[in-house]
Amino acid sequence: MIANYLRIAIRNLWKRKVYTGINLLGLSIASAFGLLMALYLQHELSYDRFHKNAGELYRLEATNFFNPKKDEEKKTGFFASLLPAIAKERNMLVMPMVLGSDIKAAFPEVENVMRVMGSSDALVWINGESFKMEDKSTAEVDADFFKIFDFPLVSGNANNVLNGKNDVVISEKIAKRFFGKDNAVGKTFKLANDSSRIYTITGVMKDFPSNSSLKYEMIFPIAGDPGYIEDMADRSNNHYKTVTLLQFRKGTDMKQFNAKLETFTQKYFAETIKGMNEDGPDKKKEEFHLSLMPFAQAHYSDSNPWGHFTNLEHIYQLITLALIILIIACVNYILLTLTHTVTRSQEVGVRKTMGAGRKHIVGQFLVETQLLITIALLAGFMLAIIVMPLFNQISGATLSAADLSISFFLKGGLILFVVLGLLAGIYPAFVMSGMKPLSMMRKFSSVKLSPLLSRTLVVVQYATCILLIISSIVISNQMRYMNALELGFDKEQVLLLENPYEYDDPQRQQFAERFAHYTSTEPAIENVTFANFKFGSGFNMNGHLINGQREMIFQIPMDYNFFEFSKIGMVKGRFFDRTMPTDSARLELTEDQFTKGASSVRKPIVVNETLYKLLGNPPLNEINKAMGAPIIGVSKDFHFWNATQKIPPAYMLVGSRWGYAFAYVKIKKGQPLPDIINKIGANWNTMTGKLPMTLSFQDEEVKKGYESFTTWLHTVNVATILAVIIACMGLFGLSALYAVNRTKEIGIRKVMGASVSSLFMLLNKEVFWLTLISFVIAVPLALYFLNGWLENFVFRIKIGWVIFLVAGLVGLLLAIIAVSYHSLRAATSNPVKALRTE
Amino acid sequence: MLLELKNLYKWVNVGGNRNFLLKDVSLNVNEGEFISIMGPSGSGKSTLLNVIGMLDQFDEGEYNFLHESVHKLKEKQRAGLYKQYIGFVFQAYHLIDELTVYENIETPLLYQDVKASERKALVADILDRFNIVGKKDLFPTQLSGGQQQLVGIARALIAKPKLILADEPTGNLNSKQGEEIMELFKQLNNEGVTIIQVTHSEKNAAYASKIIHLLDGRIEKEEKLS
Ligand SMILES: Nc1ncnc2c1ncn2[C@@H]1O[C@H](COP(=O)(O)OP(=O)(O)O)[C@@H](O)[C@H]1O
Ligand SMILES: [Mg+2]
Repeated sequence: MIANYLRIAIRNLWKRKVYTGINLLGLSIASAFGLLMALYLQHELSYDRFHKNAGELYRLEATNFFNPKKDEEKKTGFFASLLPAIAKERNMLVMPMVLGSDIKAAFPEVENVMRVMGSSDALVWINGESFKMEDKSTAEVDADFFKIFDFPLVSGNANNVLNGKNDVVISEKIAKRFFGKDNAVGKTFKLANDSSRIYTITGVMKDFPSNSSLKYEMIFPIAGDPGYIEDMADRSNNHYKTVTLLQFRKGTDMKQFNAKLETFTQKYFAETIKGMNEDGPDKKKEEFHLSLMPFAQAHYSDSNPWGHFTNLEHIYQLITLALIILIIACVNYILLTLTHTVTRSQEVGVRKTMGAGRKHIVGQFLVETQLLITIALLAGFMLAIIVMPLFNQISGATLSAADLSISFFLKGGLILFVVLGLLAGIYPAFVMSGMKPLSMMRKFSSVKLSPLLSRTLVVVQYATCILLIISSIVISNQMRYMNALELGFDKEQVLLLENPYEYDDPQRQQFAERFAHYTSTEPAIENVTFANFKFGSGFNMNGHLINGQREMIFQIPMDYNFFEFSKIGMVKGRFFDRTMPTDSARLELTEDQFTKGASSVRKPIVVNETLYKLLGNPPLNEINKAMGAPIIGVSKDFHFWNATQKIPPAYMLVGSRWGYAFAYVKIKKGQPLPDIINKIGANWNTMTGKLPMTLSFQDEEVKKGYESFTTWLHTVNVATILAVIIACMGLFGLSALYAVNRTKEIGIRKVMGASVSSLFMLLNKEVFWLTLISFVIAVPLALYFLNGWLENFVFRIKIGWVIFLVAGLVGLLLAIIAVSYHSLRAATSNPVKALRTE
Repeated sequence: MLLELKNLYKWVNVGGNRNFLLKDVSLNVNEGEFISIMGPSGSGKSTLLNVIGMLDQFDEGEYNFLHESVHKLKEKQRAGLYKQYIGFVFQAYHLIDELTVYENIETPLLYQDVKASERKALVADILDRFNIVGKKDLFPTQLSGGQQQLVGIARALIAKPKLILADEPTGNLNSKQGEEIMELFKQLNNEGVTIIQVTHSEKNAAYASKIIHLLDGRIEKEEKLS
């Protein structure tokens, strides 16, 4: 029976090539999109689950007393409202060194404690050659690291590989980079920040898998860290330094443990809690708690020290897009299939007179649908592999063809097979099987697709497309607006160079002078300045007490000429002056010149307008008690943190204890950038002895702040294009069927003297109305979703009627183009012919 | 008795008026009968045949098929009757274009869950009997009208029905082809198959044992032939 069904299905599909082609194209695009989404989803959900102990590992978290106003960043919008609490956690993740050991000692159910302390960018010296490790790629950990986690070692023994204080384990990738094909084990190296210490490589580990949040290339034993030794020795419990993981014994009652932990915490941190309530003269009672986050779920939380944050909001949005495209493709199938019922009604009728039951007819049509879907899935699978690099590029995912295992394909394919089958196949199959056999006897069959249903489906499809078109326009307008946003400083033609020396290297301080000197001799360079931050990162935040409220204020250390360099405007007072020694001098303050229990700057500062207003426009050049510093000037507000957000209160001061972290280089207009970078690079090598040069562009640093939104824009654009293409193909197919159904009517009208243009109008009238209805439905939905989305931005565009007008016209135009081919053909056809076929 | 119609009425409502398609039709058909229905175009012949074939409903009266009241039948039971008792032959042949001659004839057997080997034998038999073995792999569109109607009848017969309902089976055929079909019907009737056909041709009608004349949905007269 199935063989017979298949045979008919193949012949039917082959016979109606246009119809099959449209469905196939739509379904394969949709399934490629669906497969990629599923792959992405699978990858994201699989994070950190591959460890045997994943179920027993928990991360300690604490009330974040550095960032008490956590609900201020609250996001709005439809998708954000779906997020579970875990995604919004903003806890403090670093713990005192001794805490882990003390918890282990206090609770028998804690089997192991694992401290993981990421270190900042390391500079490695091997035989006179330097290698810069990528930021966040090194860590100090407890010696059991390779026993607790399933990170396989290529060489070395997991039981003792980190036992020595100067042991180190490196990844295969790094081993290759350092030593090429040589065996790395036994080799030694030094780190630039402590040249007296020689590390011995005791093990090489496999590169961490792509679905691991921990992504280290170099692992040191934490026991070798002087800071660790010191903290452990004096049992200091107020230096918050290390992420701490607890491994519980199997079968531990976590609810019970949490209760015990709370009691423990209140006692253990009694001093801290008392202190918190003493120095915060604001009335609110400060609390402090410890909590546990399951290790394998930590990547769903925004506060993740290991870098990988699975943004559930983003995932919901992607799933929605994938579903939209799948549904549009399925609606195409339903529409085209049902419109075809007229031509199939004879067959169904005959089969029924031969004794076919409903189940036979349903079976036959399902086989036909599933055959089409199977072909579409295979095509979609190949398409997915082909477009995967593009998908990675636009969505920011890191998928590889290797992730597309056979089992994934079978699983994903099976799910799509069933879901698509249900969405697309079931309804037409039931409609077909419900047809009365008599319908075949009548030339003009009364079993036409109910126009209400077909119109509803078209409207659903088209409203979605218009919604997507509007979204694309709004999002791209917002991104264009962001790119053109007046940031308050000059970001064009500015190169950023990282200071290559370590914090405690005396050369770090001198670097600025030497580099400034060099740039003054370089004619292509217009100006140079230094600062400790680059856009979006590198700030300290200090708690000041302003009007009885604890406020976190950004501190921006910079060189004297930073304001002039960046063309930042002045509101009042003056900027820093190199000729004034007081500008960088530390001040002694009397008791009444600062607030106890809050930060005080003790250096002359320039404040931004926002902070100045917050302080209540105080007089200049006298000590401001809240700041614990004299304000010498007020700068115009400029963005430095995140262009999507309000400019936070900040103050600027001169100088940096460790030497500036970044050199800002302004290139003269019209100079070829690659040449200048090469020139700087050559000098860099002589100046620093070939230390690595890390370079970026100021305008790109700014864009990083809203990179995820730009990615989102690309994703929405692609989805829009796909959805519109699939929907228009559906309209094209539908118009063909309508035109066929109306051949006779058109013939008669023509014989009666109707003109081609009036017939064209007649045939397209419906499309016009359906588009209009879709538009009317799409507009309020678009307003709802997009206004929610725009709330991510403080500086945002207004969604004006022009956008809707454009989207509506684009939608209408595309729809009319899609149906025109067949309408025109029908309208210009020879009426005699049309009538003779009856 | 194979089937009986008692005072059957069928109507459609046109603008508040009842428009009768069948009026007070009573008819008894015994097993082994061969009946022709005649009448002018629009007199309700097809409607009557469709009601007998349970493809169409009636509004009033009684219809018993093998002593069972038809309007109480469920769709499933009706499909069962089609499988076992009734074969349809259509004026427009209604072969399935996507299936070959062989597959068209085989299809009713599929719905009866006949085993593959048995199917093969049955289809081979009937192809042989109708002299269309050479055509078995052709599609309907590759056949002449007469050949298509032969296939249509072969398909109607494959499941060995007790009753064949034929609506103008020769309407689209030339007289020679028509005669062949009538001979075939005669032969089947002799083998015990009950046949009810609609026809316009006096000559073809004469193959039957009884002719029913319809006019405006009413049985005008019944004519017994010998
Ligand atoms: N479902 C229906 N609705 C309305 N009128 C019908 C319907 N079926 C048949 N008719 C009308 O009933 C009359 C009888 O039709 P039919 O039985 O096909 O006649 P015949 O087969 O004798 O030519 C015709 O006038 C036809 O138009
Ligand atoms: Mg008729």
